[in-house]
Amino acid sequence: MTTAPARFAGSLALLASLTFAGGSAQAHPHVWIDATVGIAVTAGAEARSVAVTWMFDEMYSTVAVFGLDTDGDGVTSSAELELLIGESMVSLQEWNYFLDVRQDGARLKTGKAVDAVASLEDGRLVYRYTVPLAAPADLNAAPLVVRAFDPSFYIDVSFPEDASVALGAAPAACSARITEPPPMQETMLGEAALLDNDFAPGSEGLGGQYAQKVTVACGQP
Amino acid sequence: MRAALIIGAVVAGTAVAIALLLGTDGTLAGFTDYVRGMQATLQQALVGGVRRWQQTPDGAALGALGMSCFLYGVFHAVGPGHGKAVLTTYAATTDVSLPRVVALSGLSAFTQATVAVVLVSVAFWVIGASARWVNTQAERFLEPASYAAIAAVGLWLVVGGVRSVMPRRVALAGHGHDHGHGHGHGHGHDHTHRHDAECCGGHHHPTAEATTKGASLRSGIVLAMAAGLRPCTGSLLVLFLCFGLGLWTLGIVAAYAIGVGTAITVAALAAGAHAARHPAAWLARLTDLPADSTKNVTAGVKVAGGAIILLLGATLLQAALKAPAHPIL
Repeated sequence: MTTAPARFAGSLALLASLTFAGGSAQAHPHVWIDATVGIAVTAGAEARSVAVTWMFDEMYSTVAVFGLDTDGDGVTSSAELELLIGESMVSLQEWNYFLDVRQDGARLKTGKAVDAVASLEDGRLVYRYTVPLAAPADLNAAPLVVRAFDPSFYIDVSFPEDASVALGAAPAACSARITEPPPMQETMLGEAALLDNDFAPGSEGLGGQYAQKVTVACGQP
Repeated sequence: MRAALIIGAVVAGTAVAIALLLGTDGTLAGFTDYVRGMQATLQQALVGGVRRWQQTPDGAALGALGMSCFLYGVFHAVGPGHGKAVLTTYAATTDVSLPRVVALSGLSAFTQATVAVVLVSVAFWVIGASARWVNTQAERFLEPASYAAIAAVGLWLVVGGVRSVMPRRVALAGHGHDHGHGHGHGHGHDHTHRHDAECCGGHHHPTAEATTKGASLRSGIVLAMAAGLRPCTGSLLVLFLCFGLGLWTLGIVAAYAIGVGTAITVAALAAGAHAARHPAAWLARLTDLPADSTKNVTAGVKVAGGAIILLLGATLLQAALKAPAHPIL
């Protein structure tokens, strides 16, 4: 009779593992964005704003711009895309435009995006906009850490190469580097995050686990 | 000695199953990165396939597109997904047969592709709505409906598992009781209907067990369809892409080709879960357990499986109802 409880316990262990394996609903990307960030750093090593470029993947781009060539000239112009990016900017404001800027681990307040322009380049939808920091960040005091991610991970935002970061008029002592997320810990954290559904403005979600980090340091090691 | 052997086998089998299932969800980080990279690559291949068909609509172009759709389905099903979790749990904890596990996986993917095709067709031709609109509707209505239905089937399995133990105890006193309790399991279906199900199962006369199996298959069908209710965002995008280019048939072929890839992957995982259960059942015969206690364990596992499906559906449901709309998609 002792084997029945053992078998039952074994089955329960299997079931439990299945539950955790399945906790995340649709948590894999369906849209990809190649991003760049231009951090406006003054000669005095103060960061003022982040200029963002998003280049959507070809499939999403094609689908998103269908029917927007309103004058029918075969070219979807920036003017014709104004409404599209306008809508996106309104709904993204609450989400800080998927931008997470930190100094000493504390998230910096950012303002409403300005200079938003969309264009269609080589079949890919491109968004350009600038997010101002509410207060200038002194990079002599501590490095700036910038991440761009969609917490739900529906969209996979990535910086494809080192050239994805520009530093404006920063002094020579300032440099930027991109670091990849740690590979191993993402799963358990990601699953846990999804089990309490950490998908809301300001949250990490699964996207945060996969996000690359841009670190801008001026003089610090 | 035998007990030690069985415990060892169960522990080993469970460990392998856990490793396999968690592995596909990314504990093996290299594998996750590989899958992530493949998902992006395959989406590009898919767009390339559609463009190629636009240039030269021949068999080679169709084959290339079909293959990238199929692989897109495979790689998306390998990643985290509730359909996979629900069906593997079902395969591991009920008395469903292997061919039926495979058929249910197919049904789930077929449902998912069909919902996508119908939804995008209506949006495109009738309403003139955008891809974002369709995805928002799927998120707002189909997703909660899917999770609620999954939770309901979980509850159904729990009730069925409990009932399969209860009447049998009474039945020990006399065979006649089996029939009486059989009616109690009907869930509103008449006796003739249930009898058909038993014939297919190869049973010679109605027993409480046969009745439970019939109910179990029905719950499997509802579960598979419930899990497929929310269309994959990827399929919606592919359909919009093709419809927008005027390639109606191609879009539908692409959506179902993705479904075939999903079906095969989910079927393989569910079959794995089914096999992980099987050695345990086989080893149980080596023991001198009374048949009655083996049946209790079977019913217990089924109740536990139903409870997990219920919990999974309920958790996902409350998460879906709480989640804000996606700002872009």
